Amino acid sequence: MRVVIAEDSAILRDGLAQLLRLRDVEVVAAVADAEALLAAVAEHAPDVAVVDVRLPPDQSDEGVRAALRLRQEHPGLGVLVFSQYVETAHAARLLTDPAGFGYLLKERVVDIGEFVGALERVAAGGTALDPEVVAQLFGASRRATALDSLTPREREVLGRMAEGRTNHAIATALTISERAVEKHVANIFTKLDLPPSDTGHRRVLAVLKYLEGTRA
Amino acid sequence: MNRLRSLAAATFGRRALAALLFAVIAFPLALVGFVLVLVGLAVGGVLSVTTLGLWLIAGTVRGALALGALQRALARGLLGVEIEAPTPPTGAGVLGWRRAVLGERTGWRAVGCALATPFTAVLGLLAVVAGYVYGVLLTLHPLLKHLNHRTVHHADGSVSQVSLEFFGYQVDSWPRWLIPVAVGLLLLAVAPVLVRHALTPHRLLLAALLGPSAADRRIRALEETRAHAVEDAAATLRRIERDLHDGTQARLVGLAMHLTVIGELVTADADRDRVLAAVDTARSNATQAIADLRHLVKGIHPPVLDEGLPAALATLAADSPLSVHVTTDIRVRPTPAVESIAYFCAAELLANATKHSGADSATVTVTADGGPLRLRVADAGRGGAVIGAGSGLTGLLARVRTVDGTLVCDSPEGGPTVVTVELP
Repeated sequence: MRVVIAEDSAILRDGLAQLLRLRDVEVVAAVADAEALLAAVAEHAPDVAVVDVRLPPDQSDEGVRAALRLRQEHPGLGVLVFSQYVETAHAARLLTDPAGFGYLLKERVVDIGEFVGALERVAAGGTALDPEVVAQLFGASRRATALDSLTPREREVLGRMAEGRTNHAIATALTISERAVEKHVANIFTKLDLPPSDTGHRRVLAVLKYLEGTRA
Repeated sequence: MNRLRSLAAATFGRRALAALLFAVIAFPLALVGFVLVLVGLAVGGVLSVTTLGLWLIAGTVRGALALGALQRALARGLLGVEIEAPTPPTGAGVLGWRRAVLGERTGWRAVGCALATPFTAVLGLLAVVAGYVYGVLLTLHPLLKHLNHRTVHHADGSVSQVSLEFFGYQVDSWPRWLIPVAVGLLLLAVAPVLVRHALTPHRLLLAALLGPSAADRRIRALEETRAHAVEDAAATLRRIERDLHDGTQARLVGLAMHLTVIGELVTADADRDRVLAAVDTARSNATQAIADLRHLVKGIHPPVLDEGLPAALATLAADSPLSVHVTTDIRVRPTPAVESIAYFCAAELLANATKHSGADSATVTVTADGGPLRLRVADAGRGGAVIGAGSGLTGLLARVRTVDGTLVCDSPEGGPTVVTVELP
């Protein structure tokens, strides 16, 4: 897997690059600002770009804007936004199309196995949302009517789906059988009124629906 | 010759002519205002049994306000006297407007001004007549004598033309004409001063009655300082958030990352040096995070300030690259807010002295005996410090004003610099 990192703090940039290399991830470029990021992606055509939310010159949301551009200009590219804090508005802006997108808190790097797993999911067109982001989105989704019909367990499962987990991973995390997870997922699809089609795509749609609820 | 030219420049210079123009305009303007306001009030008073009277009086007050605005503009444009505009009366709807106009002091002060100004404005006009008109007439007397003279037949049959006569002394020929010319030149020379002084009562009257009242001024000052205090607090929070986000938090994330790296290296049985290098980086991140936090805490509220201003200032002096001599005489301990502002003023002023003065020592003196706290920071550097022009002093002054304090900076070019802060 080939990765470009955009992070203005030299400590974090170098630390992350070192960690990823230890896990045999190829870091093809590590840059400090949004412009260099766009150039590096155009040059190296990586599988994933890891982008800090705050980048020079204003240290506000340059990273989010750069991520939006990357997703427009390079449809196949996975983008993992990487932040020290959770901003639901940023997640919502980027999640209009959750395929190949991730939003993680920086400290998740500490579990490098999980982190590389998230990178791989994003590179493969999946989703990786931080549990913190999911919790906030759930908190914000109180008003959403479609989501009100879900049981607490189904909400939990949907939250994990939003993080980008497979049924197997969800089953392990919630210590229930995979069959039970499948049942919950089917219920979620029915309750959210998602027609049966390509299942993989339906999972993304469920997350989207769920995010629409949060923005209602 | 040069003297004459400079005299002419002073008498007929731009400033002098502007004052002259003001004096000439002010009186007729004041007179017209006086008559209109008086008539308006009188007729309005007579009609005040009907609502028409009230409307007329309100209109008169509004007119007086407009006249005041015109007078303020003239004073600003021609005399360079800045009189702040008072808050205009406002009310919802026409009835609200009338109530506001009739009920607020601003309008009645303008009416008072309109009734009083003719008496002060006339002084300016008299000064113009005495200084400029007579000055010009007397100076040009030898040329103008034909226009106004009388013919005198003397006993010996001779005839002379007398154009000026003082107590029987006839000014009728050279060199006697030198007298009026000299007097005229003298009058012209003093004319600008004369006009300026004659206008002083007028100027004071306008400032007293057309500017904002003391209460208005106080409200305005409070609004300004409150806005500043709010901005200051927001900016401080923002700075703290930035420092935490970019400094401490990033360091801690870095630390966690390097601990992970160490774990990975140990798991992979990497060689000892690589592990030790990663440990080193992790440790330096931890140390730096601690230092960042200490620095940040100091910027919010230095812990030593809890022990009182003397201890805090002593620490500040010890930290300063300058040799700082601190004298404190604090009999009554000030409130924490005042202590904190005094501390940050001292810190900022010492930092300024370090950066700009070029001096190698400074003195800090604090006295508080129940009255206002006085902080004095002095250095013998190159001076030239000014409030404004983006200097740190502007920020300090704004901070000091939030508690109604004052900041005076005395810093002539070449030094020394003495900044005195008083906090009530």
